[in-house]
Amino acid sequence: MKPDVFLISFLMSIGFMVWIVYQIRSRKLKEQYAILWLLLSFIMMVLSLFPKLFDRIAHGIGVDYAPSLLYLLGLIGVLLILLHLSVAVSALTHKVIVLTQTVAIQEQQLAQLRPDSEAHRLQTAAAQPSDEGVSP
Amino acid sequence: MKKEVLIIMPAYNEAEGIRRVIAWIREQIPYADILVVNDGSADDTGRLAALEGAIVLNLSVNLGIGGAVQTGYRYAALNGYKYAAQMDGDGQHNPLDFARLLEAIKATNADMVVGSRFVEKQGFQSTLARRMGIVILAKLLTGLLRRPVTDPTSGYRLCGPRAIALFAKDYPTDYPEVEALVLLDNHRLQFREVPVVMNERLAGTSSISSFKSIYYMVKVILAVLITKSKKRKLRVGYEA
Repeated sequence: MKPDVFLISFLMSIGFMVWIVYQIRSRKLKEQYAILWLLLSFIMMVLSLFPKLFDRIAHGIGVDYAPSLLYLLGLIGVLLILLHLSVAVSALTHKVIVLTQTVAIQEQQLAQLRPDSEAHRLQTAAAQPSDEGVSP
Repeated sequence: MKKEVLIIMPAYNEAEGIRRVIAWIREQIPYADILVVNDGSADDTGRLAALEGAIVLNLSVNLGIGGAVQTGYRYAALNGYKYAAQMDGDGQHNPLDFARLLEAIKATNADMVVGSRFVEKQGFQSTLARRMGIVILAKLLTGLLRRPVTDPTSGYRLCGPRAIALFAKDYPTDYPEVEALVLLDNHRLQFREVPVVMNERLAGTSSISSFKSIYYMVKVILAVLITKSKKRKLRVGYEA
């Protein structure tokens, strides 16, 4: 096998997969997101090993120019991953909101319990508001 | 000694007017606790509100109006308040109307009462463009919920125990007012409108600028339709 574009892309997919596994091992990438990427690198690997396979698939579904099918599938794949990420970001947003609210409520309760804090002084002074600054 | 009513005031960079507004509310509604939810303000809003005698919750990051208001409902639910009201921190909502809201919720079986500018058409009626937007949303809601709604964007609201429990669990995030009405209806809770007179804001600017108004309309209408498309919950163990 002489070094051609298929060999290069095969090596690239291997490198891609190794890098992803490394990211998972060092806990920089969560498995739930990594599965998509591993799947992608696996497909890349298969297609670069058997380019004829792709030609046959393209023919089979009536695509005259096989590379255009590649672009289509690539685009769909990327869109799916992006959608997946948007969903993940939305879930994180929700969690951040709940946590921020909880922290604020806890902080207020804590301040009330600590008699030496400024917050405590202000909260217990609620009945007799201070006259500092603006008047109504 | 805890009171029965909690007034939730979301505030973002309102240092300029917050003390005046709190003092005004406390004077008119002495029977309520005032809770200021400081939505990650960069200025002195939180400290000034506490100086004026309000309970203050400081959000560490800016969550936007929905997240801030929901913090208040969570606080109300946690501390067993019977009624929780929303009022803006910029003096738009007149505390003089509050007694009428409270009377209305006590006299009826409504779970929430909304102060509406447009029932009696008094006071500051907002700008023409904004009023057109409100009319469109009002018509949409009137049709979807099959009951007259005149001021769906009003943030002057008073909730009873069931609405507090619902909003503490589930509240829309940005531009939440209109969507919250549909959410309430999905859970088969009742709301009614009570005429109020609104002022032009004392300080600060609206969270809705002219650039954002188109986004606002699209987002709100989309959110309303999506919320409406969700299945209505069955009301268990309660007779209206």
